[in-house]
Amino acid sequence: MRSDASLRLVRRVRVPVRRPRPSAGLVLLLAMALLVVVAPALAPYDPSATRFLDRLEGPSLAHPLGTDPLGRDTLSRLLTGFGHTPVAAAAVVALSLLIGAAVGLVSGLAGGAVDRVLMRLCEGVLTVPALAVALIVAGVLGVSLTAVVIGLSAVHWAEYARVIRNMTLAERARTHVTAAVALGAHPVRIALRHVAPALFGPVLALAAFSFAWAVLSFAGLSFLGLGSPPGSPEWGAMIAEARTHMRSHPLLVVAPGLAIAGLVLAANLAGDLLSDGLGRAPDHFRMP
Amino acid sequence: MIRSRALAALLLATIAAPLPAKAADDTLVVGTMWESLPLNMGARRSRFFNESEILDTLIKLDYDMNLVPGLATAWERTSPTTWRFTLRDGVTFHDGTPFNAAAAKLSLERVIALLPYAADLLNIETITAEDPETLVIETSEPFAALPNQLTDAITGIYAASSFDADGKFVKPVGTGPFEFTEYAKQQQTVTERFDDYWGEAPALEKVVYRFIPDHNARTIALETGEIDLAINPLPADVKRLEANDDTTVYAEPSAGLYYGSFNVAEDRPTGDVRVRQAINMMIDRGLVVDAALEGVGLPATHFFSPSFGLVPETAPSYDYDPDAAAALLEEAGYAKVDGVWQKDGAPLTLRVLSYPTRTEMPLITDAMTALLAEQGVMSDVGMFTFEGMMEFVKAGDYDIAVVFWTPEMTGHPDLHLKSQFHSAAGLNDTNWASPVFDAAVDKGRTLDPGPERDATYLEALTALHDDAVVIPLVHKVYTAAARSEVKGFRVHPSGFFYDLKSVSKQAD
Amino acid sequence: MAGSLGELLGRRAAYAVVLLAALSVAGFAILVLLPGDVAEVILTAEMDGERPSAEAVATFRATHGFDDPLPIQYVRWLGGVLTGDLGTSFATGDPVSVELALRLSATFTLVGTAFVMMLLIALPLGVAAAVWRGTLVDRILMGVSVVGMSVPNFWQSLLFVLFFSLMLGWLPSSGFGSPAHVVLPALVIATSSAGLVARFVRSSLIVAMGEPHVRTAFAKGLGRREVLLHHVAPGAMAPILTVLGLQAARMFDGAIVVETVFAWPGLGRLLVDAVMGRDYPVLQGALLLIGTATILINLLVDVAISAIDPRIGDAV
Repeated sequence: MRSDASLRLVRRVRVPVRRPRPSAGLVLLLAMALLVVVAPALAPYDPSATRFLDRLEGPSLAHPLGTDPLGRDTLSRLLTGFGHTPVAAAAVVALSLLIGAAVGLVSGLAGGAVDRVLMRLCEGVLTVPALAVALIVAGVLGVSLTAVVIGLSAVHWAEYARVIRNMTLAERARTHVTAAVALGAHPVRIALRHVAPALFGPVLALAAFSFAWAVLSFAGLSFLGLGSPPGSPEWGAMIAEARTHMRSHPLLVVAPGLAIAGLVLAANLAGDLLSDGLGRAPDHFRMP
Repeated sequence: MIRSRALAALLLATIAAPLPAKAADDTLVVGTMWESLPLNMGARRSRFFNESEILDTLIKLDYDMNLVPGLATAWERTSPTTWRFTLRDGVTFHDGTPFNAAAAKLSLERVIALLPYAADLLNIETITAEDPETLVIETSEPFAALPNQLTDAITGIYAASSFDADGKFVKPVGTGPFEFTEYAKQQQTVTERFDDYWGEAPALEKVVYRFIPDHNARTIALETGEIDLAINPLPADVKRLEANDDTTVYAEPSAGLYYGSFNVAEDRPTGDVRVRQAINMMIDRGLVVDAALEGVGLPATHFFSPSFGLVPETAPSYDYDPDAAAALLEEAGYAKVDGVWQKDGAPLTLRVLSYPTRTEMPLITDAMTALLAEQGVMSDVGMFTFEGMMEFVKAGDYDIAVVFWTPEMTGHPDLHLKSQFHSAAGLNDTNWASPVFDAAVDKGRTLDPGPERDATYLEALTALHDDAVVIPLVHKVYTAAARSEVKGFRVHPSGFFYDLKSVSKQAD
Repeated sequence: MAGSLGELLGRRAAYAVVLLAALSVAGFAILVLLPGDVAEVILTAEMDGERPSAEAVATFRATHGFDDPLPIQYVRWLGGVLTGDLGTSFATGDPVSVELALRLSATFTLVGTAFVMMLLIALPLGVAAAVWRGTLVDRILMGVSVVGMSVPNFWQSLLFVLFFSLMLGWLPSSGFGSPAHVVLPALVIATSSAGLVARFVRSSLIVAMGEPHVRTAFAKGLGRREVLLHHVAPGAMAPILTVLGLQAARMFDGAIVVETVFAWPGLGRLLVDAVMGRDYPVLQGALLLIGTATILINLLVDVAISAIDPRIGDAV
């Protein structure tokens, strides 16, 4: 499940088919953020409150998605789930972005041997199976949320480093930046004043794609019992629990899966919309 | 695309194995949840050797958990520390060598040398082959429990050819009704009928133990007829299998117990005996059985199951009583604020550990913590494999460990009381040390069955109860499901024995 | 053109050796970084979970060389690894090398099948979308592929089992050992990669179609099929190969989850079991194996790309 988020940026870059709609992508992203904040509060019941008399009920007015083996309301657990996987995925995105931005900017601004070494490193890192790394990190540090976030980010940063480095190179070549360099401006100042603003769009698009990937990866790890603790209202963990009743109560498996797929689809679409508008995104898979 | 073509060629080469066909009438295919590891005698206490009946133990347990002759036909205690066993005559190993006292001595000595926990279990000082049919065992202290311990799977009798010249284990060669023939890692183990078996010859020619760890998949394989017998189907599937004309469900109370083991260290909330007692009174065991196991289990209030008569009827227990529990927590300095018990502004939150590799554990843990939450006691749950969990337990980083053990495994109270709760026991991670309990358990294993032994163990169980060191949850009901043509199968209460020599396949 | 192919190969191989050395240090570090005393952890595992005495641990440390300086331990360990001695699994008591060998071939079968399936899905889809770009066909195909990328594979596995095994009864729901067993898990892995690859094939072809020599070829009156095969495809090959190389890692990640659902005895499930069971020797072996495979696949893809498009190899 290695993120190919940056690959998706390349799509249609040179031959745009649709008219750019970055604002629509932005709106979609904001809507998702809103959902993550608001959804848990909309849960009609306490997601961990048990009602043993109402266990394994089918959909009804009181429980639109039925109840699980402990009589907990599935809809409430689903809504509370917005506070779990998406938040962990956002943490992976943020951490990767932080490392990737540092490496990418240094690489792009320094150029030369530093650039070659760092980019070679990125290429190597990108071919490592991220989920396997997350598992090994969890195996060594002990299974925890932190271990999983570190493990996924340990590979994923390279996606950002590459995009940011290529964008930095492209920006550096533009006249006003060349002028600033010629005038002896401090590299940090150049990075912040001239390069960073141009990065915003492509990085946001990449963030949307990489969020989609991180949600899938994290939910997968929780499904294996290595992400969120079992019993918590996390979608992957819910699916894992529901396996024991999969045949008699398929809805318990179907509902959280649809939540994951829906959120990931929205993030992928947001990424598409955002990158559609980014005419200047370089085809960084053509090596220099 | 050269790579993919090479891949495709390799693929065809590796997957060109035949499709599994339905087994012949004299072959039984068993779907197991654990992988049988016939080439490893240490793994999981050699459970597989007992299940597959490749080996025989000197003494066996019948379906009521009473001692019955195995390779030993009689035994008596000739002094407090001396046991004399009369061995079965005319028994041969699968390799053709005769079974006798010298062979039994060699086997037991190898087991003690190779398995670190064997010495502790058996307490053996010396083994003497007095004559071919008489084995004399001298124990290091007066030890009445020895015949029971000799029913433990790890004490199965191996032929000398089971070991190499350096004494290392190679493969199981025993005296049982089935001999080991084939092992395919991660897939299956095959045993075949041993024609010179000392007892009644089995009806089956061949038994295939297929490893199907996924519980859903094991049931499906049974329903489609790919396997004949599925061990441990999901409780949620039991009803459907019962309703299905092609399958029969076997369920019997077993010696297994799901329970929570407290960490009684001072610095934990569970260090206060009143908190442990309150927790014991807060959980309606019947709800745990229904919610977690679809009713397939018996609510547990004692460490030993009432099914096997090991627990004296007068042994005390905690009954479901939320009001009494609340009173105890108040006495312990807690106050209920917004439905949650608190002390000094901090909610009462328990670190609860368990392991999902046994499917029921997360369900039981979930039910237990949910019921506690209803009463205002919060939990922070962690799931690992058993070994992973034990690392935290040994470090004392927990309040309740939800575990599964088989307290009556050898039909004697000694094994688990001594190894789990004696203050000197390596497996006692509860930090509980009770001189009264220690003395009772140390004494109990020296006593012959009778009123004195019962009184001694009542003393031990009362100490365990009064300090509320554990919270018994569910006595396991062991389940297996078979195709209807499988006849003669019975669930053995130890949960470690299939007894397939009585099984046959006959279409109705 | 200073770098001939041979020279390039040499440089890349040297680089791979450096990476392998780094990997071996990382692998060794697993046992050093372990919380707690390695000797005690290993001994506890050997004693079936019972806590060993302090003396036993001390003896074990001395006899197994745990008291030696780290570099000496590393060299001894590396010697063992190079001769195939990766230690013994805590869980099964079998040599780690035996565990890995079986699992590797199972995973290879699964991922290999999935890879072929993925190509069979993604190539036609991507080509069709590129040829009919901008049309409804394009929109639909790309819409389908984005859905394919968005479905969690563990969930898809369960739905496939419910549908194909239980409802239709066509394929076994789990297990190993016959060609029928590989179909469902491989299909799950294939579909989650196919969407992305199809999209990439499409965009690479569109880029290649815009090249001047393609226009020239059309101007010369060559047929569409002819141009596609001889003028467009070669230009799109290098980027597509790069992506396919990256898919190896992605598909292995997919296998970790899918193998667990389908009880496929591959490396992924071994890794999950090792993490949950704290089976450090297996964890270490898996790290070495996965790392080595990654490095070698990289090397292969690099060389393949340079062979196809010398300009690229020359520049790096």
